[in-house]
Amino acid sequence: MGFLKNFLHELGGMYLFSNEVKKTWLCNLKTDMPLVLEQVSSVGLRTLSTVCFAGFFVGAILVIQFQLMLSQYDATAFLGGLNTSACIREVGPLIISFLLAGKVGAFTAAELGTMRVTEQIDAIRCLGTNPIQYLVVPRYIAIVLSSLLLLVFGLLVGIVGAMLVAGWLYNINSLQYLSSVPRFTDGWTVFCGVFKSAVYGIIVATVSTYKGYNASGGAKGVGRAVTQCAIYTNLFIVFANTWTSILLDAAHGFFKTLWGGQF
Amino acid sequence: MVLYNLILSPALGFIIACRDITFILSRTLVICLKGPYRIREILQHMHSIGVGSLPIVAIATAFAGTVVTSEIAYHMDAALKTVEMIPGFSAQFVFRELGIAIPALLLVAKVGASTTAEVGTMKVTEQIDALRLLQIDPIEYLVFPRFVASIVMVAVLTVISIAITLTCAISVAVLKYNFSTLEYLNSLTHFISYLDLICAVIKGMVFGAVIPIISCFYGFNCTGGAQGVGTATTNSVVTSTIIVIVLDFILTFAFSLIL
Repeated sequence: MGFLKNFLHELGGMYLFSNEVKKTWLCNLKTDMPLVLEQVSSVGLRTLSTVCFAGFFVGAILVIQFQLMLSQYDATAFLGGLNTSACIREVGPLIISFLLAGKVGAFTAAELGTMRVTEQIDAIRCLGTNPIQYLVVPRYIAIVLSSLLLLVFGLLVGIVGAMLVAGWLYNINSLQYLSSVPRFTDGWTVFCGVFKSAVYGIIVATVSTYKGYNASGGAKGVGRAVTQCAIYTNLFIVFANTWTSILLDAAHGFFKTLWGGQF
Repeated sequence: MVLYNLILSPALGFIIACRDITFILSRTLVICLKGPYRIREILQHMHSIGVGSLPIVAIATAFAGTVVTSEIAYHMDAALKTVEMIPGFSAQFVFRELGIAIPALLLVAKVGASTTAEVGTMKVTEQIDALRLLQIDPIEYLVFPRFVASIVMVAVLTVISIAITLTCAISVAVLKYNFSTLEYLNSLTHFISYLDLICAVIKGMVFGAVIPIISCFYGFNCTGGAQGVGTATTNSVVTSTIIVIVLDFILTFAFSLIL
């Protein structure tokens, strides 16, 4: 019961915090833009190589698994399409955002947590600046934007990497690999991937800024904030994965009935 | 100078990190063979790693399990125009990938980050120097119990998470796609063998070995107060995640040859 109570407490805190961040952001839309762009470039450049690396291996793992399954039915002609679709819709965003939770989320939590425990945030408040506007809003917006870009980039690398690995391990020609892709993927598949990436980005941003901003208690407190940030981000991402899948499935069915199979 | 900053310095850092990690790993393995075994510490860490992570792992894998059936059904419908194959394919995916990777990545975040934070805090508050002063080997006292506990408990949690994921996958297949439970379990016997379970446990043990070694390495190398602890924890989570993904690829390929 203690776990559940704690969890609900954190959830409520995160909701209120993200509301405050959004309110502050909408009140100061113009003045914050340079800070936001600076953060986007720093987060994006720092994380790009890691995301590409992870994306490649996610694609590679999926190729091996699907090759193993499909070879039971002599259906390896579908490997490319199946792999691309699974990578974009489900597994790619999930695994790469686990990595982003560490690379971006934990980094932000550590940064803000250090500022909190060394009383820099109080100093900023003393100088008459709103710390949420100056510190949290640029990071929040930058994490949402850059996670979206990074996840899309990681998925692209994953798809290309899967193609290369299929050619390398199983001697499947790239053209042969790509020939079944249109059968499985369409605009809706890409929309699913991008929608999930956006949701995961919002989760990473909310949890990391909340945990970092509310850290307390010296070096130990920063460590605790980073740990909890990593745990909660991963947990929420798994929850969000299920709910967005159900939601997108329902939306797909709805649009299909609306436009009669053309969709 | 540019060459040094861009290539030589990171390469040197990487080589030194590899050396230190190898040292920690080999020292731990030597202690595994020769002792002294600190049973009390091992049991304590088993409790904190295993029982402490069980709720999170159980909830997360349950959520992951509900998606896998409908996702496999969507793909099978597009590929083979039939949903007959759902039980076999979803069970294979759970046993070989999903039931292992999701808990491993969650445990990297939970166990790895908390270990680095703990060891890093000990390092910056000079408790590790105090241990050395008392002639206690920090690797023997801090790394070895976590190493053993993590190997055992991650393997156990992998099996538990496979069970939970499979249960959720079965219930979705029964409720949404009108399979009967018996039908599903029957087709499991054709697609899954004991070898799958053994491979899953081996994967879990390897991931369990990675987590404490990497996180203790970053904890030992932590410098500079609160900021240092935060940076070390971040680096530990990222590095362990990448190593787990890469090892997952290598082991998946190795097992795909024997399955």
